Amino acid sequence: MNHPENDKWLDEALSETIGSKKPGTDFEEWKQRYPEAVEMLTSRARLKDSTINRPHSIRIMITKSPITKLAAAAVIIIMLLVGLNQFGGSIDGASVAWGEVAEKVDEALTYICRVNFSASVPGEEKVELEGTVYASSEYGQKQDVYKDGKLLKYTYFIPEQKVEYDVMPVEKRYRRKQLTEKELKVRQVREDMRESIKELMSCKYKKLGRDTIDGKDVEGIEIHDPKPFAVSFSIESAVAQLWVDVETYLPVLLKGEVNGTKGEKIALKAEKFQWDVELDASIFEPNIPADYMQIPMP
Amino acid sequence: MNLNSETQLVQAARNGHLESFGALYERYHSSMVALAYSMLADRDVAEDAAQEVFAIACRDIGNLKSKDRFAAWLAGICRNVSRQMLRANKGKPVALGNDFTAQKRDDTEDRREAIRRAVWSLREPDRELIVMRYFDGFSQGQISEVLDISPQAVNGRLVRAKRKIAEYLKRNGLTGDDYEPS
Repeated sequence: MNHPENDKWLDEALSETIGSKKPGTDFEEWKQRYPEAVEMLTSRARLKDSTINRPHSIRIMITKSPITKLAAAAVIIIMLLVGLNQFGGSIDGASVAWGEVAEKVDEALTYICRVNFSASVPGEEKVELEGTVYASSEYGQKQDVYKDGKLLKYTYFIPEQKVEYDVMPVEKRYRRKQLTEKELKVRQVREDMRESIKELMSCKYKKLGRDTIDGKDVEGIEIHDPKPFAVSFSIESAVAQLWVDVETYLPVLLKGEVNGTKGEKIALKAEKFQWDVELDASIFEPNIPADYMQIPMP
Repeated sequence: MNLNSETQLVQAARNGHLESFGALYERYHSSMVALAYSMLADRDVAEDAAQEVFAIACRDIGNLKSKDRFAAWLAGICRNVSRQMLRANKGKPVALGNDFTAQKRDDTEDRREAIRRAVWSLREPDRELIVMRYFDGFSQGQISEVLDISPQAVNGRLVRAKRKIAEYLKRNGLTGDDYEPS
């Protein structure tokens, strides 16, 4: 057997042993199994006509995935609009002194809120998500994101460890990103309301007067200035409303909507706020099950 | 391969065009299963690995530097995913047991086991080549593209890898003389 590799029997034996029926290549089935991956890819289409983000603007961002930015965007816009209080004074001579709203928010060490988010681009399926944001100045931030009532993912941001986690329970996978100093700073600045307040100082607001939300007396303001909104497309119109409790001076409801020149639309609502509630440290610990697979970072 | 067409598909997928990514999936799914199988030695696990590979590729296609090296990039992801799965299985390909002896060479299952042993005794690059060649009959061109080596190198390495397999089998008492297709 000088040249065994040329023997026909070996080819046959290898084909018989290794070869098998052609693997199924059902892309539709794959799409069902990995909705988040699909969402991340299709969201790239929305970036094509992107504009440059302003560094210190409200970050209603559609970057790689609107899903991953859902809660963060909500929090940022909340903080930013709360920043309107820096104008001082009260609305319609009523009881809310807006300067005190900022102080109250600054003093709050924790909060929880519910967030609804939708994004649509002509020719693409509308994305609708909802989630809960848990934030603690001591431990960091956790977000739960749901789509069609099903849990899509948890995200964790732990500034002390300079790390972010995305955990996808349906797929039993997770990703851990160690942040560089630069990334950490960007992440923190992006959500620093003081920076956002500076941006808003040049905005004008419209008084909305009083109303009742969830049984609470509230007062609201509205802005129509696109300047503070940093999105990845050209803005045609933008509007945001903030309603605060007249007794506690803390936000109760925040709504924002941005429309793009090419039919893009983002809407966001944050509500059911709980300020300064007790949040256990365990909420902010990823505790990833052992059978979850880590997605390698590129 | 129509390189322009594939480059266009990759570019479209990078721009968020799902159907283009679907075309790439259809084109490379089978080869990713084969590549994962070469490391994991289990068909079902390899199919799971291939699914993961495309999930990662779908997410990270924006990071692909050279649009004309999509297959090689995908293969890199596949190797990482498979290694992770191997680590989860404590480093041992799942389908290979510990107590192989080819005592009954006329038995089809024993013979197959002997051949599997021979293939998985190869070093990883040779094993990838052999599995891809015989898993689904991939052409030299397809193998060359996925493994990112020239077609000439594919041919030369294939011959050497088959020689090693034949030698392994001979040492274990299996030659073409007693081979009968099942």
